[in-house]
Amino acid sequence: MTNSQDPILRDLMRLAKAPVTRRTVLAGAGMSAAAVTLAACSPGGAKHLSPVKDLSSSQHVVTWDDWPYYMDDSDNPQSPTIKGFQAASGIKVVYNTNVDDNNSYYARIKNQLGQGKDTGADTMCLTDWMAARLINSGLVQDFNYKLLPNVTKNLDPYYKGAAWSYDPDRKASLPWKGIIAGIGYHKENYKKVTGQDAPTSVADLFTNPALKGKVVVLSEMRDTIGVMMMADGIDISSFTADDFHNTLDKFTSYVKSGQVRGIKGNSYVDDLKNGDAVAGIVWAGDIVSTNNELGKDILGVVLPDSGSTYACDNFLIPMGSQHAANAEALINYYYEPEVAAMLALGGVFYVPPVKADLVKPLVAAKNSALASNELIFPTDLSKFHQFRPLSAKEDNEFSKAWSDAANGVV
Amino acid sequence: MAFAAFSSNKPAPNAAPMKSGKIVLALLLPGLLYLAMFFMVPLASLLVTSLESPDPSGAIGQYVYAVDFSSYGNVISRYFPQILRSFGYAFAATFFALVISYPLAYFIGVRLRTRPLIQKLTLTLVIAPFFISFLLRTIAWKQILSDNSPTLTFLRSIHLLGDNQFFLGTPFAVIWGLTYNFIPFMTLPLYTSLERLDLRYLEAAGDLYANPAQVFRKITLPLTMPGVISGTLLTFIPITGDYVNASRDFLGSSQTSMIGNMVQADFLQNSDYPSASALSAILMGVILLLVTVYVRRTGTEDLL
Repeated sequence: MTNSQDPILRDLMRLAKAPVTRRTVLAGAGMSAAAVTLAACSPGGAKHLSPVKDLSSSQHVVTWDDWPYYMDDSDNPQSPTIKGFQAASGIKVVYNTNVDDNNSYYARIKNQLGQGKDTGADTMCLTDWMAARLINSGLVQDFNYKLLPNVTKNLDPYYKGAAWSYDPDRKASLPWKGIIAGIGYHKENYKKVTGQDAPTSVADLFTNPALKGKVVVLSEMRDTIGVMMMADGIDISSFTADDFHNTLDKFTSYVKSGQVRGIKGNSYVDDLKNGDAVAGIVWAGDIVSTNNELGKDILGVVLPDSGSTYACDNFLIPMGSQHAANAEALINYYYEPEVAAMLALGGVFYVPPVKADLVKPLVAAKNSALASNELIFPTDLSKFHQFRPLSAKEDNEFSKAWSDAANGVV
Repeated sequence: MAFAAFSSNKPAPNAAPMKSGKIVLALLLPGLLYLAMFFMVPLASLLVTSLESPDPSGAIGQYVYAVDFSSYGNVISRYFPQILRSFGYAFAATFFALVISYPLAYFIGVRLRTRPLIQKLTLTLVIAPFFISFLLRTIAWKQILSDNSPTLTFLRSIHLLGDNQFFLGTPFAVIWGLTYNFIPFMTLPLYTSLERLDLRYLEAAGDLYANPAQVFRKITLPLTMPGVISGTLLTFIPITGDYVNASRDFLGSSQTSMIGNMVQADFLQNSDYPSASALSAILMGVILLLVTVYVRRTGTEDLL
């Protein structure tokens, strides 16, 4: 969920290194057209898919597509936890941080995924709503729980049941990281601009004239609109289309008036750091990470009384994975409390899905401040809220309306 | 293909005699195959995609083959401001690039003629930005134009800029970035024209009592028109389709989205491939039309 940079931007970075001539411009136009076609060539109707033959017993390898910043000791070419898994299991991990955005990652793999072919990943981590979309379309396979004893033992029961309606029994998706969205701000700049210490409510961001042009929000619709709807007193687990559009209209007016200048993925952190934004709707884990990296608390997070959204990025195994059992061994490993503690101690500041009473003591033994950080080990997860699942029709309609608002189309 | 539209129908006076057709064909084949594979096929599929209609099942991102022109109407009505803005920004940036590049190219191509070494060095300086990625250069501008950057702090201290005013996310920043990024594309063709400019014509004009302004208007400019035309084309066309400078992650904001940003949004965010394709096709069509008119008007068909 933490999209540091668009994958398109990264592709561009690569393309930009080649000199541009009229001919390469034409060729580039041709290639992007080819990409459009390829994406459009996927089969129309959904057909029933089943897992391909598993080669895990002979091929000791697993490829894992994940978001950036989710691995311990990210400066190290191979993280301690991955090394630990490889040593214990003899399975080589190919770890790619190539998920920057649910939609664009999906756009990249959808043809192979839709045909049950190898997408290049044996497991990938995607956010709840995208996981829901893939599960509902039958594009990912069920887990073999015989290989997941740690999950059975250690998964926090919070992550099962009706609140996770897309997969209440966690048959095909398992949480990897929990992400809280709240209000983030630059401590010094906020004080300078508004004269107050910290924002106290969501309304502060959008109604304080001193913050005009200094507000940034997440480009992830469910987090930004979720937090805003709750501030309007709407229950995001059961809102109507009208509720959504009312809040979106308000949001559009804030964008048009110039109150909100940035609508970004993970790069909002840079805006907060360099002063282009002073406050905004953000992911709490990023703020803790940034402070940790800088070695001082320059950024702050406020969880609004009206409510914060909570979402997970989840392990999924596509139908075309030839190493499903290896992927399950990997997931099982990350459900060890010791491993979850290693991640937190190694600088991954998102909520682990392993029961907190198993992980916290292990973390506290080495870093008591970290263990008592409410943004990493919240004492009460039930105070957070999940954006309700959308039907395909709503999903389409809401996403387009959101994209229009974000791009200034309306 | 696009440029075939401007080729003259008259046979070229020095056309090579058509002797060994097979060898010519063999030599042409790689190029033709390349064009077919990477231009014609994608173009055709782009057009086919733009005519698709949504899958009846309503699944997101699923489309069926059809001959449905509704995407064209939809994108024009939905994205009309962005389409206009793209052309507006492209005109502005091309104009600024021309105004900045012409004196620069004149200086390098004419004034430095007597000093070939310095001339080559300055020319290298014009091309030097290409050694660094386009994106990095744009990100650098994002830093330079950032709210608390030394640049803005300075402008505020001399009261050229109000306390609550900023550049990033405004049309100013986007046009600035576009102009900067495309200046070499303008300067190089201008340089090529100016470097070949026969200075004796200028002398003759002076001898005939033309003042410098008249010399420029009647001699220099007409003689370097080919450079102006190719320079403006080389900048205008890519600028119209540019989506980096105007992107929210670079110099732009929601209020500066251009056509490219909308193609990106429809393709990657909305999974609306027919709309993205229709918008691309419209962009190509409009550019082709504008360029045709421009080239016909300026009477420079032979240049292309």
